[in-house]
Amino acid sequence: MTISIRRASVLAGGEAKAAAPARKAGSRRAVLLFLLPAFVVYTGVYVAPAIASVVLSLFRYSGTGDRPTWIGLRNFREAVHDAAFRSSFENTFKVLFFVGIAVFVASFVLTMTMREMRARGFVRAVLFFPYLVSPVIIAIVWGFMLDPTRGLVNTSLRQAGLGGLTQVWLGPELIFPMMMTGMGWMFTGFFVTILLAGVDRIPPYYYESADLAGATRWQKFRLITLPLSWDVVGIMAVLWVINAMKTFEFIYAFTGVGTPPSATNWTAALYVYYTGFAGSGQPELGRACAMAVIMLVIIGVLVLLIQRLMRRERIEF
Amino acid sequence: MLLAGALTACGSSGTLGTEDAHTITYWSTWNKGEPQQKILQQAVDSFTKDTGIKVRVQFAGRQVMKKVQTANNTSNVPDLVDDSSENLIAAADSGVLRGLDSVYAQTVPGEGRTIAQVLPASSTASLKDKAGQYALVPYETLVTSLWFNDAMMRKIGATPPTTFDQLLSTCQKAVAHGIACAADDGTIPDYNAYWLSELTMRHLGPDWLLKATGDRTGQMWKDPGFLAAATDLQRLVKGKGFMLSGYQGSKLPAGQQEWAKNKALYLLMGSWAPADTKPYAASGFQYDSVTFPSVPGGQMSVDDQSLGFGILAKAKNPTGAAKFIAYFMNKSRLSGISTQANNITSRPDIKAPAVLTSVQKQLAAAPAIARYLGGAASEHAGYWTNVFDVNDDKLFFGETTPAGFVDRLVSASRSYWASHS
Repeated sequence: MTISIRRASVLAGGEAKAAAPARKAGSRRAVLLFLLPAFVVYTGVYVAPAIASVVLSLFRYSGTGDRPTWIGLRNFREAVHDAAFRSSFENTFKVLFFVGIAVFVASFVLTMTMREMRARGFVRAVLFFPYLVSPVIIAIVWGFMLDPTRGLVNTSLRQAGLGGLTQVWLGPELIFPMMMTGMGWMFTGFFVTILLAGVDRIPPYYYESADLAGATRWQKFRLITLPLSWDVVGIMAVLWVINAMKTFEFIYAFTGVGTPPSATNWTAALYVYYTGFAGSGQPELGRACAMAVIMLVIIGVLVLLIQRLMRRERIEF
Repeated sequence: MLLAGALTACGSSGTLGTEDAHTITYWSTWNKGEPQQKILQQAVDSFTKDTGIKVRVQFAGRQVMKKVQTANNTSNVPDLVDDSSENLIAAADSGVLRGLDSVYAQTVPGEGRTIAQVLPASSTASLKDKAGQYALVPYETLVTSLWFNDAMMRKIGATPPTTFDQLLSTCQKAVAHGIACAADDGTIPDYNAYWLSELTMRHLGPDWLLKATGDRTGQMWKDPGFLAAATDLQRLVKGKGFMLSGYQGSKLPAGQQEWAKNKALYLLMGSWAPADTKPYAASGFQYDSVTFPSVPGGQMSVDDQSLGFGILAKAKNPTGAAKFIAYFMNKSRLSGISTQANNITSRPDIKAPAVLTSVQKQLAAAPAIARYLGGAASEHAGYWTNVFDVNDDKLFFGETTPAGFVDRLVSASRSYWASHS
């Protein structure tokens, strides 16, 4: 294509030079035309509601047909001083860091193990399966398995003669760690799949050469896998931050749909939901919007931070 | 501003067109297939046949009020809605629903008595909005009672308790016979709060909890009566073997099913307890219940949550909606709630289903009717969930002392209200 255009320019001389900008403009119009539907839909269902949220965050507004009252930044000030909102953010950050570290470590270990495995397609499908199932279903099943009186975990421990190990898994001390464990289990398969896709691109002769040189698994991981899949790891980190900050369904459904767990286990997303769409009583949509804006800013900052931290010279191979 | 204004643009109800005058739109809390849905559908069909008013009904399920609240930002609202009394009172307080005093004055078709005359004033007194108007017309009544198996009560040689001290002594008998005193699904904070809210109502009356949860200083929690209620709760939860093992982490419905299998003597629950647990109940299980027991010098009341009808403030045909309410309140039509849906109706002249006879007696004998969880869980919903429930769980799980609980509640209340203007 490039060659034929060049030849045409040579042949037509000055005329072709004059026609080039016109062609460029036409092509730009075509591009814009193709982009327009996506732009309209995206603006209508995402950008406009996001702007509306920012606007409403400056009002006292229940969202039930009342007239919004301008209160400036009061919703933000109060949200920052709200102990329950801060505690829900702590929970969100626990998910972000603890589950994140566990998921990334498990993903790397499984990827390194599976790379040399024969039935890795099957294993990958098995690992990915939890991610295909609705988080609501997984949360409910996990909740039932961990019920201290009749749950599968305690029942199995008792039947195996390990009754001393039974715990009140959903009691106040353990319920949030159990929620985090469930989320880790659910997300690991997804990140293993992404990482494996990145690792699969690495030419095998790097590993063969490393084997001949007597490299250990750890050395192969550190010197080949990690640097050559760094861009994929960066994408995983961004996806994880977004997923973790939005953690909602798993906790919402863990103790049963419609019966939310104690507020001590809520994440920021759950707190925003219950503020804006109260289970009972008066909803506070304006305040919920302010909280959502705070979350959006934090997600944005974290994503930028990760992109900066993970910026490396791209290795071509 | 423009956007915010557009979001709240209200459709004018305008004048009633022919279509509006002969049609009502009704959104219901029931799901298709539920017994109450079938009864209401029958009533809708016969109402249209008898009056010529068409009913556009939508069985939206338990989240119906969320749907109504969102729709209230537009002109596309239903005329009629049904849901729990707490949700309807909250909606009336926020102006989504209109006052129904005039509906109470309507005659029930075929009976020559008004709605106000067929409903006991003691039950409807608490169903008013902040303007003092009735927020709803109740058709079904749910009561929180102390449930037990009569056969088990006899087996352990005990009689149903009328005082809290007696309750604790039956607990000892239960434990001596190898079962726990009380079951509970501890992962549901509101179920845990039943115990302390009942004890608080006994010690300080049915209205105290609502006032205390709205006290921005938190000082009301220092009332000695509240400390006494918290101390009573501690006597229960710290009693050796009193609470079913693992209750702190029990996931609904595990706790109540264990109760139905005779693993515990009591279940403090709404009048849906028999229906929910019947499939799991031990053979020979005889459902019975009493009002939560009294305390020395305290006050008795029955905790009642109704299900009823509300009419939207923006309803296009409020007259038609009111007609339907009066039509449904007719004794023969309302009886289906008892005979087919196995629940207690709001009319005391309709006999309760056999399994709920004890509950109907409690209602009839109640010196006062209290709102569900004292009305505090809906009037101060955010406070209730984030402050009261969270701290109540600590006391109910035996993680703090009554005095420590009160102190924590005082400081947490102050902090909460400082960030909620």
